Amino acid sequence: MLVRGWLICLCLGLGPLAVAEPRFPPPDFETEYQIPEEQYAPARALWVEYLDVAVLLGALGLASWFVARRRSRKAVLGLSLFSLLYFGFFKAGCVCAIGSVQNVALALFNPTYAIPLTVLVFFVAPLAVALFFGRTFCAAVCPHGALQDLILVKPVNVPRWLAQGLGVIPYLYLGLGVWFAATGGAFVICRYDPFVGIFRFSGSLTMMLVGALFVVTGLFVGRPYCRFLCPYGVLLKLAAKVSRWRVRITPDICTQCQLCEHSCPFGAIREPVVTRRDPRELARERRRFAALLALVPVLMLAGGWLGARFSGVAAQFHPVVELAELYLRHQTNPPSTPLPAVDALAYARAERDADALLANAVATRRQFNYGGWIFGAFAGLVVGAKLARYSIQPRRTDFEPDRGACYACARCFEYCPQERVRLGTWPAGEPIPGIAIPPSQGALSRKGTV
Amino acid sequence: MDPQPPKSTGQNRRDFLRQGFRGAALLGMGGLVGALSWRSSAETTRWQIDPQKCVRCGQCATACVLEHSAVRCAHAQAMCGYCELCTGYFEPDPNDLNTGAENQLCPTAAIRRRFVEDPYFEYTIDEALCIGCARCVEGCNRFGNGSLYLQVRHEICVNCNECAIARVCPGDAFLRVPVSRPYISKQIAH
Amino acid sequence: MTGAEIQRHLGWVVIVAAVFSIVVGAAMFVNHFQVATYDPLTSSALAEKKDLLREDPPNETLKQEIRDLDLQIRQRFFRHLAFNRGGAWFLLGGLAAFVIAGRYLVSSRIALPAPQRRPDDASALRRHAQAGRRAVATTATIVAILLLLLGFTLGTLVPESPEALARLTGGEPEAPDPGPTREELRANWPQFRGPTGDGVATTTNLPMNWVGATGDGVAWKSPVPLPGFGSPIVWQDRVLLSGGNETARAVFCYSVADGRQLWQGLVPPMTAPPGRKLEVQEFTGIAAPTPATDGRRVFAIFATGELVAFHLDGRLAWSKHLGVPENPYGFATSLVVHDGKLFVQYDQGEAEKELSRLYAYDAATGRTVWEQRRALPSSWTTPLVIEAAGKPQLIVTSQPWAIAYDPASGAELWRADCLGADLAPSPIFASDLLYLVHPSVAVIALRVDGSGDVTQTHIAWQNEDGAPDITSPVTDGAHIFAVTTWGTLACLDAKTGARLAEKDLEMEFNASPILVGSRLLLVGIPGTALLLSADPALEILARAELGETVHASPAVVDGRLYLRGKDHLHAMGNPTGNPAPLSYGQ
Repeated sequence: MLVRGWLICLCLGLGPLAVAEPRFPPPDFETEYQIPEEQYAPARALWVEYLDVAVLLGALGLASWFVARRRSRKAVLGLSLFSLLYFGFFKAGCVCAIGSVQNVALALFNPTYAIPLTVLVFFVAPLAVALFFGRTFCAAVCPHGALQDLILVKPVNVPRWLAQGLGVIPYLYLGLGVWFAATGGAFVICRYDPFVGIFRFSGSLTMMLVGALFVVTGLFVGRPYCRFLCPYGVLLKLAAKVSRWRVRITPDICTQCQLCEHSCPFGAIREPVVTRRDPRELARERRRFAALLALVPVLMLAGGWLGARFSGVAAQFHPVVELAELYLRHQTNPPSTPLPAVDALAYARAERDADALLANAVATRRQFNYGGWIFGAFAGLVVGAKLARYSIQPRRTDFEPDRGACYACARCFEYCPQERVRLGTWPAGEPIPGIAIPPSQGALSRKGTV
Repeated sequence: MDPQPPKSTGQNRRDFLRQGFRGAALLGMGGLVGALSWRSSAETTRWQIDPQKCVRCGQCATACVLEHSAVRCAHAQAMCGYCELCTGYFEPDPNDLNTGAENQLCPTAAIRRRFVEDPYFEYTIDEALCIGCARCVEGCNRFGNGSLYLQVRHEICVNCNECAIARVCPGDAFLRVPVSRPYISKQIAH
Repeated sequence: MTGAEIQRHLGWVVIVAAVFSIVVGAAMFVNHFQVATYDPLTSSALAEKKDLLREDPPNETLKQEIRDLDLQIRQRFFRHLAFNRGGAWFLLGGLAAFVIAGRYLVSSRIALPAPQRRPDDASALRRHAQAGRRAVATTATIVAILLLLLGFTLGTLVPESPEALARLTGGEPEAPDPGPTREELRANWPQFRGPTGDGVATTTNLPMNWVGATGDGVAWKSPVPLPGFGSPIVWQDRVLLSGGNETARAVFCYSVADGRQLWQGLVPPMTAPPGRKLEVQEFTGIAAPTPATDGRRVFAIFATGELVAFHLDGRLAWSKHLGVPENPYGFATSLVVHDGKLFVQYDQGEAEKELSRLYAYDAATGRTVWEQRRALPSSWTTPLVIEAAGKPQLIVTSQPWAIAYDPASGAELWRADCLGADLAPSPIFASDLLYLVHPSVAVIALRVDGSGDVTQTHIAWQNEDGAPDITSPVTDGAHIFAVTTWGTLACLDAKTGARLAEKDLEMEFNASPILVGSRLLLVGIPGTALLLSADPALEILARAELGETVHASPAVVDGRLYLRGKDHLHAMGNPTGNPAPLSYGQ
């Protein structure tokens, strides 16, 4: 959806090519005929990309303000609609913060790749904001999140254990994406993105079907991509866990009235945990925790070994290894039928300097092996940490959203009677349910943040 | 009056830890930006085909994420021989040298043939019809002057982070170019 | 309308929207498969008809059938594209209607929260923890099994080590190539200004009894098809040089024995990275940089920015286009090979633009090993590799800095601010002192055992007399000899820098002097070769005329003198040894 222009944009500054004499001599026109000049419509200007960055920063700021100060679901909804239209359909979903992880990974490990500044900002800005305000990016700025948030019609409750089991996958996807990007192999997160086909109005049949599947699922399951797949969400979750301010359901003291308990379609609300554990159980839990922590290095080693075993498959995503594979397969086991035309052309290129290609491929394969160890160790660490985490009992007095899991969509605010009091829609004289608060305490503040 | 209950020591400890991690995260991000900005460019990039590396495999027409590929044929008229029997326009050994469908190479009839003067004909590409299949490019480069070549059109290309055609190109002909110099054109030195 | 009526209407909207979306989606799905029959690229019906026509050329009805079918196919194709575009909008509209109506419906029917009495926390927590652990463990196990299965069934043929590769392809496991030995390098002339890069020949036998015009004393003279100001290089039984013009660039290889051209390697067509247009300076040309060789491949670079590597038997090894450099006088920096790496000093533009780079490429494959950005302007010197202070150092000079890098990693070792503009003379090294030239201003002697900025601490001496402007100096450790373009030859004391003697040679020089034993060889632009004594006396011992203009520095190796004239490569003298001829594949 780019602007079509009619400017003549001659090819700029190309060196001459070492061409032999042309087969057919240049024509000698006797009439007034002029050889037409090549015309090109201009590419999207650079200032437009910087405008996108400005819009991103503005939207992040607005989203944070809407959630933290204004506490308005309608405002967040409106902003998410804007983000869907602008970042999603207008910009065709690219460049996005989720994909930028790969660009950063490539830039860190490949000295010849210069990452554009705009992409770097797309990576850093949502994380920086999450460190202070939580996942306001997910609520109202990310086009994928906005799409899923808007199409959610009738949320079905995903049992907690299922959500946590599937919650391992984003970590693995992140590791995989970084591994593949850093070795220069492929941008798999972009390649297998389910929603970008919808934003572009075009894609392969498989991708469109997968996108349709996610959309249909998203009608009834809240944010399936965000919760169970998004690799950038892992980073946002970690940043939000240490955020300066958290999203609070109640603008005031929580009276534990339980009215907001089932208000979150994404299962992010946590209940208060007050009762103490049985001392005998405590000892058992401590032993289990210690055992699971001790298991972490074992899991890392096992994961690393698995990753290295898998690296042979992974390496084939790299074009050099793919070509070398074609070449070797043909050399060691020549097929009876000729290669398809495309493969034959690639093979011809491989033959031209096979030694250099194979040396390059071997080096790349070895890089994938190292990456496989790191990926597997990371996966093992994540699994071990998640297993051990269950032994830690959180101390919580209020109903509040989990910092890392809350998408800051502001749906739960209006369930809280304190919020209604703040908005002025609570019927006058009606007592606030839950634990009774003496009138001297708990003067309601107009602000909603802590 | 503070509506918040006073924090327990456990909560204070957690807040302190959180602050520490937050500071470390900010430092880390700052370091990342610093390390990468040395190797970053102010400009974004676009995709282009290197005409010298293109092997005319035909995948530009089918591999693009867009149904009507963003790659279209371009004609470096300065290199063209203006031949009556254009090997990029006509099928090998054509039935007759006219614009009949049985003689044309182009499957979507995107090349316009116009008589200029004897014996020269002008060939121009109608980009709206071109699908980037490279049949004309192959014919022109194999037997002719090589003035036809495939190139990415920026007003159509959605500039994917990873170009789907680049991924499958057997000639490894795709490269990223800075947005200030977005077009690679085939040219001869005079 | 009452609430119930609204709900009923909404319900209908939801159902209709859902059905509509499903129908449109299904239609697009079916259409996708139908297109295959009418794909203009792969239509078999059309191909068959065209084959029939080839057998029966004058068949008019067949022609008409082909034209009709072709039109039909094209129409269907573009209609299909439009159908998909339109269908996408309809689908989106249907989805939007479904979602909006559905959300209103759901919100109007929303159940009020009915808080239940919360069960016992402790047991709930325990159950949650157990369920969570089981879920995580299950996911991890499934993923692990998947990775294992895939890893074992779909592995790649490409192995992880060169030894395994050799075993696979049936070759001998190749020991990594150790590169040429120091003796091999010294027995040849592998780069600009000889094996050490500072103009000192390792042979003492220099033939001067020749007359270029008549051919007396000339072993052979071969035409060079493309012009260039780069010097020839020699490896065993081959002489190589590069030449080029705007149409073509190439490397030429001649036989040492009889001068016949063994091969010529044309630089393959490459597209420049988008950048500036090439402007060729007449006095520099396109092939001013001298090629370099490591005994396995020969490397050449041109002012167009094309870098190319050929095997010594003429096969192309690899090539790259570095982009047209921004260089006011024309790119002239020669290549240097050391320890399996090819170093390219690609200084260009003005210092603030930071366009300059120092590249290190793997000589065998062309892969970038490391690259360094340099905030320095264009330079016309060539880098020098020296062994000093216990380590190899790559000296690269550009106004105003002389910088030493570690050849293996590209890390900067030290830098000194002592050079000036239009920097053409290359550095030389002898007895622990590096001699640099600030053109026409000073000769500077630098100690090379420092680190960081050594401008204030490591300059041994600086002398204002006798500095050349374009040619590089040469030293034997005791004296330094330098000649200016207009013919003033100076002899300086290497330890103090004092000018000991000066002589006006009354001709112009572009070629840098070469030290052959205790004699100094100078070749002037008119083609006159002078042999002088390498001492303050500067006595002219011999003189010979080539008969062609000479701008390129000579190559002196194994009892032979090689001079590149304007159109020919001349070889004088007889090789003393019997260099083993190179076999293919080396």
